Amino acid sequence: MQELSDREILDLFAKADTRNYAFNLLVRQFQQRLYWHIRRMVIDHDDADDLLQNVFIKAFHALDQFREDSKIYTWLYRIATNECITFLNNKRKRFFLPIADVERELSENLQNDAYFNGDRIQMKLQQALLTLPEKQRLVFNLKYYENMKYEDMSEILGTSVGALKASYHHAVKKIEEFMRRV
Amino acid sequence: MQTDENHSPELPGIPRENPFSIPEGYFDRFPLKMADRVAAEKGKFRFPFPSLLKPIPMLATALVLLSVLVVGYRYLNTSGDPLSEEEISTYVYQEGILDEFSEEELLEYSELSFSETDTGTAYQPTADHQGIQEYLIESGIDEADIINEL
Repeated sequence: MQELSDREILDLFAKADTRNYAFNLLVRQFQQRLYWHIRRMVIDHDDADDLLQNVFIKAFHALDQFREDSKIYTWLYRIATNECITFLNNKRKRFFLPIADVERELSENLQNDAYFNGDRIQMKLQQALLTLPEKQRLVFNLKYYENMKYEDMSEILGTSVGALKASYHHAVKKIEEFMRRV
Repeated sequence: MQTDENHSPELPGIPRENPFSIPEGYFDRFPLKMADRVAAEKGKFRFPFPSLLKPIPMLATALVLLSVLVVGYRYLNTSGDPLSEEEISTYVYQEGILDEFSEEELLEYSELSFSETDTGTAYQPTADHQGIQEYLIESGIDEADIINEL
């Protein structure tokens, strides 16, 4: 599929007769990257599916007011990241769970997940990731799995590039330590 | 999307691969699912200021509205209070308002005020009032009877 530029998408979306077409192109262009970003955070496929739909619905309602001081893809990632954080916070509040218990629950779900195909070492890596603080996990996923530039990550997470590099470094150290210990 | 591989070295002994999978055809069906959702959303009413629905802005808005109501209520009540006679006198003398009227005008006004029943001071006739005496004399009523009645 040929990718459209931000300008092309916005121009099509601005016209009433091509609005739905533009939105369809937007969904097709970004669905996979956003899905995997969300899935790595919430683990469960059904939760990821719900959140991905919410992200695109929010984008549909806000794309008219989109200011081109950022790229569409970093804007969508920001919406997706906020959806994930809200989802995990609500899970904690709903069941009165401390942070570590939500991550433990996700780790247990992983072992019974029909859509997890990783081997023992991949399972261990995911469990190690679930011991990280939320923000570190986000940074690690975006850098390790998506090779995202720190500048883009900074725009999405609202954190300085220096802090993101430090966060990634700490995450790697903790994961290595977990893999050695467990 | 631009990438930067320099800062994400492999973890030792762990291949960089995606261990998760999805139901077959998921990404083919998803755009259709979104089209349906958008069509359904179009029929729904959306509050034009969604940020106001968050708890803190909602509380702030409620407080502002409450303050406006309280201030408005107090203003309406205080502005309707009548001034006491003492306050009116003080105001009239301090502002020199009486100097603006001639003596005839003031006398005329005071006679008018006495003839109105809703101005506060009731009209109190006296037995020696010239008009009453003349009327009684013309009517042939004995003055002594009237004095006894008063």
